[in-house]
Amino acid sequence: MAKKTRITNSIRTLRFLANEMTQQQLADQVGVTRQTILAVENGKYSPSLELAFAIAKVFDKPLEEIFSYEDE
Amino acid sequence: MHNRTKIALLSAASSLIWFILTFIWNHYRVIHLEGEAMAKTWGIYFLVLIAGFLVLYALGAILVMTGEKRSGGQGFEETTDERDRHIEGYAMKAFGLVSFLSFLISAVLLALGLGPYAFFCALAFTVLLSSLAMWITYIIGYERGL
Repeated sequence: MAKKTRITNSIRTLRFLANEMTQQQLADQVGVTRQTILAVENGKYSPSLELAFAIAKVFDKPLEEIFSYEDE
Repeated sequence: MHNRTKIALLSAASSLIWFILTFIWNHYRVIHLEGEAMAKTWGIYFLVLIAGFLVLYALGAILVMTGEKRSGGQGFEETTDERDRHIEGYAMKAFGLVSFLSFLISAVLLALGLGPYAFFCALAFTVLLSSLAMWITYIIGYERGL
């Protein structure tokens, strides 16, 4: 079973709303690999602050609308 | 499955097989030797073991990346990013920790008077276990998350 981080995100929904942007397109815009976007979406990897801000900039949303921290 | 997971799986499996084969080969070479002759034979064994690990890793990487390229992927042009560096950091830590602990056990065996044969055997396992720790960390990092 995959280890989930406590940081959840709505990247998948936002990609869908952004004309069904592909993971590769988002990856190219923020300068990471498609595998990393996939891992972030699935909660297998918590992105750095720099990457989180880059993703927020692509969708033109504040960080807290995309990422949230879940209390245990 | 991530490309680096495939490379790590191939490297781990081939390293294990290479270790078993060379360990058996070396065992029959050193069993009747003593002193300097034994140390020299073990030295050659370690060079063969480590060179084999490096060659097998390179072959695994070429095999996976060539296959990836043929199926329309980026192959060797694939870039690394912060997640790769994050996982690499853990893999190096695992390698270092297991190397240190295994070497410590080897030294304890020597201090207990078990002789140079036991010490060299433990050192050989140090090489194997630290490599396996590194590959397993890569596999866990890419497939499960770290």
